[in-house]
Amino acid sequence: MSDSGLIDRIKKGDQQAFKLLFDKYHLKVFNTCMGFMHNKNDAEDITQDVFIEVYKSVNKFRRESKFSTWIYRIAVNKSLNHIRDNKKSNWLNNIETLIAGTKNNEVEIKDTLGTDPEIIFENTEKADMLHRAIDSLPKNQKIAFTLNKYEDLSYKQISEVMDISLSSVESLIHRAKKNLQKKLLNYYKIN
Amino acid sequence: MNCKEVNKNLIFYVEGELQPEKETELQEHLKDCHDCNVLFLNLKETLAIITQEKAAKPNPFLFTRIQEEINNLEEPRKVFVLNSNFIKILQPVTLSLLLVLGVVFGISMGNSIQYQTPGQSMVYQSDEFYLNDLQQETIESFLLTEE
Repeated sequence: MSDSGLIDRIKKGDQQAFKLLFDKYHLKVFNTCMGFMHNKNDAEDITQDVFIEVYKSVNKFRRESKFSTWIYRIAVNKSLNHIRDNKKSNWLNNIETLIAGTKNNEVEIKDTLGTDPEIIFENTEKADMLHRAIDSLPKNQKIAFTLNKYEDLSYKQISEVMDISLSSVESLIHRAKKNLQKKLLNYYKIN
Repeated sequence: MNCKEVNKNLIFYVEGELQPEKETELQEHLKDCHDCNVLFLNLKETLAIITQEKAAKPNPFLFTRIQEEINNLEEPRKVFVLNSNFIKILQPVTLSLLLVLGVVFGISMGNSIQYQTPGQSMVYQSDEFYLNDLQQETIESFLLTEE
């Protein structure tokens, strides 16, 4: 069934249609959130918030853009808001990290990379560096890069989500990659 | 191509976005330059982490969580609407009643207090009367009026 048909059914209170919409979009939303959060638990929480927002605001959706564009926008905004709110309590997280001596995302990387401690440590360090490099990008570069790399969105789709021109998206992703390269190469040279 | 140029284009090489000519030049440089090759391998491994992260799957019970959350949102909302309407009516009614009660109580209190003006004697007149329900003549008056 088309998105439009599902939305009409959700507006009438059809829970089954909402489940179908969730099945269709939850991985896309989750991957987008993972790109911003780099943490499975946070990404799940934001995915949950996104679908609750969709359910609550479905009557406000005026079909001026595609539903996919609308849901990606919600996912990006929710992720950025979450990062902003997290920054406020960052000092608390730092204390927690100092006490625990580890970060949450290490657990996830361990899960995906097997059991060799050396490989786990090396990749954990690299993942940490990559996340820090992505997080330090300017906001629009980060959005464009994340949508492109984590969600494999085309430049055209990104331009629709961000409501900017195609050439702007090209420029943003090019600059994001250059910035990432600079940060990562500096890190490798130092270490 | 020298090391500086390679370092500028390494990420685009990893991503496969270089022009064929430039790509060949860079490949040739990597064969001969150990340092650049190490940087290339590190960068490639780091960017591959994105692919690993993309493989992560959300909790299979995520939809149940969302549905529960939506149900929780809807139920208190109904109660809240009822409460807010009830409170909207109840507040002014209670305040008006309290005001009227206050005025009535004030008036009754004011009436119950008797002020004594200076020079006024403290004479209390009893409003109470002894009642004699016995309509017959008493024994005393009978004896006194004996003919």
